[in-house]
Amino acid sequence: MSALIEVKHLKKYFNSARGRVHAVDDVSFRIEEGKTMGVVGESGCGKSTLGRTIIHLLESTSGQILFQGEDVTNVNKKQLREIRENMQIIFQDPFSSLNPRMTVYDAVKEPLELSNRFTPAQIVEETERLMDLVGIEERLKLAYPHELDGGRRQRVGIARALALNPKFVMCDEPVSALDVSIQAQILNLLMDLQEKKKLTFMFVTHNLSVVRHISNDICVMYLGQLVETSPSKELFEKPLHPYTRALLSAIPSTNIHHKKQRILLKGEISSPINPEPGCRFAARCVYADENCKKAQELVELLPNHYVSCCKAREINQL
Amino acid sequence: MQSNSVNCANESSPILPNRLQKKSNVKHASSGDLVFQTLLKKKGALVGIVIVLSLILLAIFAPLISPYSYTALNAKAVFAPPSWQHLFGCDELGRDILTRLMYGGRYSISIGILSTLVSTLGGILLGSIAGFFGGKVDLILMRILDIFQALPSILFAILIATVLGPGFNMTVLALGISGIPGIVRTMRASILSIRKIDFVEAAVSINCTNSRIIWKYIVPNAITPVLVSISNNVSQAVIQAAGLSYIGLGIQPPSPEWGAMLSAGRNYILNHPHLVLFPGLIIMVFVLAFNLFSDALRDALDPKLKK
Amino acid sequence: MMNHNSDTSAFLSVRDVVVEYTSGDKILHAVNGVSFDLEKGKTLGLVGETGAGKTSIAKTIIRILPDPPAKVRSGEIYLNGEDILHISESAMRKLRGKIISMIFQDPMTALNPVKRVVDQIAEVISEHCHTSKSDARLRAVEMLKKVGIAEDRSREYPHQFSGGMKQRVVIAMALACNPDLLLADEPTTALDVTIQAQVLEMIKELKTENHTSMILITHDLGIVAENCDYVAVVYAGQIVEYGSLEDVFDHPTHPYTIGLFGSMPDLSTNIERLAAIAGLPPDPTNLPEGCSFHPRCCKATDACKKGAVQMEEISKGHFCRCCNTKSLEG
Repeated sequence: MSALIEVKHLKKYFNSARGRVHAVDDVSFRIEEGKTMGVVGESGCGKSTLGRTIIHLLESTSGQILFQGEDVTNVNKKQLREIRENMQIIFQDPFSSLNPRMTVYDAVKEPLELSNRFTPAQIVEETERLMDLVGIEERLKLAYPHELDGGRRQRVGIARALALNPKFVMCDEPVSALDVSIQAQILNLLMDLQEKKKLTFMFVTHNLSVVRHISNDICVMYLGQLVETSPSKELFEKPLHPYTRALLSAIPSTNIHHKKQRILLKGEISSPINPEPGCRFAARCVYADENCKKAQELVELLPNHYVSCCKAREINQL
Repeated sequence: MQSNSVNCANESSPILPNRLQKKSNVKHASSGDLVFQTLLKKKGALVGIVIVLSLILLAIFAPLISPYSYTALNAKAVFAPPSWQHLFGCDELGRDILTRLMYGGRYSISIGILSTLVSTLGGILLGSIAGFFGGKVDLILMRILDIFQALPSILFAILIATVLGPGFNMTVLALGISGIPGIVRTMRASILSIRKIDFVEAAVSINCTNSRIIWKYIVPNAITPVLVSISNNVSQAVIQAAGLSYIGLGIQPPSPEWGAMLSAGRNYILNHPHLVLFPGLIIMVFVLAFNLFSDALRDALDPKLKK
Repeated sequence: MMNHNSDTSAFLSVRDVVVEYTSGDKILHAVNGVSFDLEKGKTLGLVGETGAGKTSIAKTIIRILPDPPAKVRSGEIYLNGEDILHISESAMRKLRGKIISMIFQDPMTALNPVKRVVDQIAEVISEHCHTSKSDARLRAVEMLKKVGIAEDRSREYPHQFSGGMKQRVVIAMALACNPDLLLADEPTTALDVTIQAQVLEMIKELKTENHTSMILITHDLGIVAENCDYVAVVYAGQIVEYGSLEDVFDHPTHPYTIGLFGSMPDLSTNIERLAAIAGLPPDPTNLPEGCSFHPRCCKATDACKKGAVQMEEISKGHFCRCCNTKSLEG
């Protein structure tokens, strides 16, 4: 299968009062069609910014974005409209991502109306089909967001995102704001929809258990840099980058009979404003040395398993 | 972790708890309906609305209710104290005060409402422009507003009176324009915060045009704090109109505007306090009622604001 | 340990606490008859979803429920034999900070933005431990060092700290006077996972050092597994299952507990589809008749719909509130 999305040396910087924020710094990866790429990292790692830049809600600073092999980095207004129909987003907060003044029905049919591709009769039919697809009961058609619970609101958000049959959906922490028992419902729904409609997902989250469940491949980000990427299962079985290893060891385990070896990181996350060149994790890494101050390269250490760390080979005895 | 019993997994669509299995033709409450329902439950709002409506009705139907004319001079009843024939007594020209107060409502209440209308419309328009376009437009507009607000509103009223001459139109215009800056700031702040909310980004992602985003997403949601301030502004306008008439700038005698009546009666306050008492009371009652209503409105809108 | 009889000899004994919130003309049944014991030095995990009543239980113990709209309808809470639910507010004030402390989820709103960090901790110490101002200052600096904040950062303001550091300051404040009981309401939910690990480790160390008892509220079963000695699963204001960590994790009995375990994606298991719990948590103003969980329970029978369900001891120290425990055990 060919790559639906390919990102090459993508950078997104913001100007702030204190300097340039390197939100996304030289990130490259591919997402195969029909697969889910999980992007994980902690606060400030740039995963949300990365997603929004790919779907053109933010303008990239440099680098390339390819969709189905075509360079879509810089597009005019007309092309942007088309891209938006192909690349959609599901938001984290179901409470703030819906217009409180619009009913469920209005919210779901709006993208259809705006695309000018459907007749009124088709719009009605499609809207009902979409609501059915995501599991919103018919009697809630005229409900307002404040009458629904978080899970249902998120379903409305999903229906809206899927209205125009996008090929790619960026899911920005779609279940983090939901109650645990509802999370499972929504995750199952997303996986079902992916299978039914051959969707490609980019799943951004800080919750590693969730991402393992839903992703085929995973990218780990730290302070705007891509530090490791590999197939999902392998990342958890063989984490190669020191940060990934610390991250995985930090997750509390429900296995009460097996005490976990915990790697505790020292210090705090450094600032993404005008950062020093080289690996940004070095300041907290026990293996760091002079070589880490140089720009790191993404190297394939195991089949399909890339790491951005000059010490990775040594640490993992490869 | 082991599990020693069958997991109650339900693979098909979720079972709904009883409370959600309502009839299929259930009516859905928009947030506007909810606000209305909440308002009706609040005693303060009910009292306020009843009083305000009564005063308005009295003003409209004054000719039918009162046996007296508001201009009829009656030398025999000059300074008459309150009695059964003249419930609030008579003024220095023998005119029935209660009748004059009822007709006066036409002036005072309509000035209150019209000037608020002027400031609200102007404020929403300018506030929206400043909020959307931001940058230089916002900067220039806000600085003009700052300069304007530095001018005391009394001076501004005098300016307008000089240009237009005192009277009804001048009062409405002066009060209306001086009320614009407050509304501009409220609207602008509201828009700036609404713009950051996710649903605006969501609208962009489905190819919403800018004008659609403005009229369907931003303005309907940003307007709530302005609505809350409107009712407050009406009562403020009534007080300010009374103030302007008191200093001789607003409505001129013999028009029975409440403030003008206060002004005319101040010379006789020691010997015939009823000339001042009743107009003062009516202003107070109207403002109090409107404030009760506006407080209740703010409370009713609050949970919606938080959401 | 759990006891429904009058033996209130444990360090903390909560008995049949019922708390209601009045909202307009509706009554919200937040806590519906909660009882449990806690020994000194042990940690109890209160697990459940949003709205289950866990925070209300904790706030009732330290008596910071807003009154109105909250009202404690009945029940007793014995701390070292004294019923603290019925002592005067001034007596309770002496306990807060010194004997019982609470930390909340959001560190940003727990700290005073206009006071230096060391001053805030020193204030707590001098208020509750009756030390001189200079002694309090010294102890505050010591506490900060213990939670990993160097002395040269102690004179900074909260906004200069990251989320994890702020939470550590909050913890330092809570533990400054060596309280006997610490109530922690989702203390790490707002933190990144690597910071969470640091913070939980630190709480454990301080707790062990001072033999502090803790009630840890969370919805994360992993955190429970690594920090708690006992577990109470809360649903609709009631404890539906209670036991030691091994009891509840190795032998979960209540259908809700089993559902919770099944619906959480876990790194140690390899399930394809998550077993979601059908339906939604109940409306606390309109709880179902009988067992609160029966509308969502696939094992519900007619007996579940009638009458309150009592806690049953299914093995020593392991309790479950379900009519069908016999059939579940089988």
